[in-house]
Amino acid sequence: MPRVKVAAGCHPHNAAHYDAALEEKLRAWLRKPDVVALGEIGLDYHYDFSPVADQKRVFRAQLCLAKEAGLPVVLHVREALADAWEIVQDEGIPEAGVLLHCFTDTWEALEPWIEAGCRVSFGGAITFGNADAIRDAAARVPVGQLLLETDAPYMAPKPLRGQKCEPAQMVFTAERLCEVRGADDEDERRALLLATQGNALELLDRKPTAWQAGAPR
Amino acid sequence: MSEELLAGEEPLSADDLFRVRKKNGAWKAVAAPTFDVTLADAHTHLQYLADPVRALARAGLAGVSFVCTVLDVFEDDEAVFGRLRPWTHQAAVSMQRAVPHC
Repeated sequence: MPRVKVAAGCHPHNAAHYDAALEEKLRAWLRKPDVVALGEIGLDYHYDFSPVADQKRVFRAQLCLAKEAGLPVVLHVREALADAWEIVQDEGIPEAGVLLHCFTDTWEALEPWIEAGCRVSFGGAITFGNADAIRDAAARVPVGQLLLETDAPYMAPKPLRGQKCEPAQMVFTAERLCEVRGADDEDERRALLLATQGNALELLDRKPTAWQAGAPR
Repeated sequence: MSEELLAGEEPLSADDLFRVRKKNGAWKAVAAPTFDVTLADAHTHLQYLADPVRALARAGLAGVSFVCTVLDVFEDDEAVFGRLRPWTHQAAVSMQRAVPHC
């Protein structure tokens, strides 16, 4: 039976709505016992559902909040890695950690994040036909910074692409990661997948922070 | 359950199988990878799934032992927090019923 934890935040799509009242609501959510991360936050220049200025403002505000709360951040960054990197460097990487979720860019774009100790998770996109660059990145990430995800109900992996995704489908993503990383025998597969699991638990299966424990509920 | 279902909407599987749609529109079960370690889904949105209980049960049967669900403070309802434990409890019951199938 899966153990369930929660990340809470304001998605870049909704940045235009982020005001003092929404931040107070987020602060209250972050104090809930199941919450282990602040996310998903970041920049999305693909849809631009919120103005870029708002996205950047809200990204910065939530990075600061995460550092105050002692929580890791889960990032949604689409077609905006360079700007996101600039903001993260400027605000400072949260000590609790950074997870770049649903990574779909190149190794070259990812490399500075990896060198800074950030983690990255790969989802169903790693199985897609036109995803050689994503697979190249997945092959090169140090194993200690590598995680798996589904982003369900989105991004169903092949052979289920086009359907609604669900957490169980990650077995197909896991299989593809093993192939990409050259984990051919059972021992290598076990070691790789145990590492991805361990990385997720280390980052996300956490006790309440001092901020969470000390704040009035 | 027959492996070939009638053509139509994507089936909400009550078992631990995965299905793909054939050219004639029927759904057929596909072989799924299995591992001797459990997996952790670092990013999902349980609250957006049609049946989070069934999804958690299927995840458990597939070997997923940890899920981090992501909530949006603008879009999502705070009530989701209160649903997580009932979902996991109901999923655990569901998994126990599915065990004879495995």
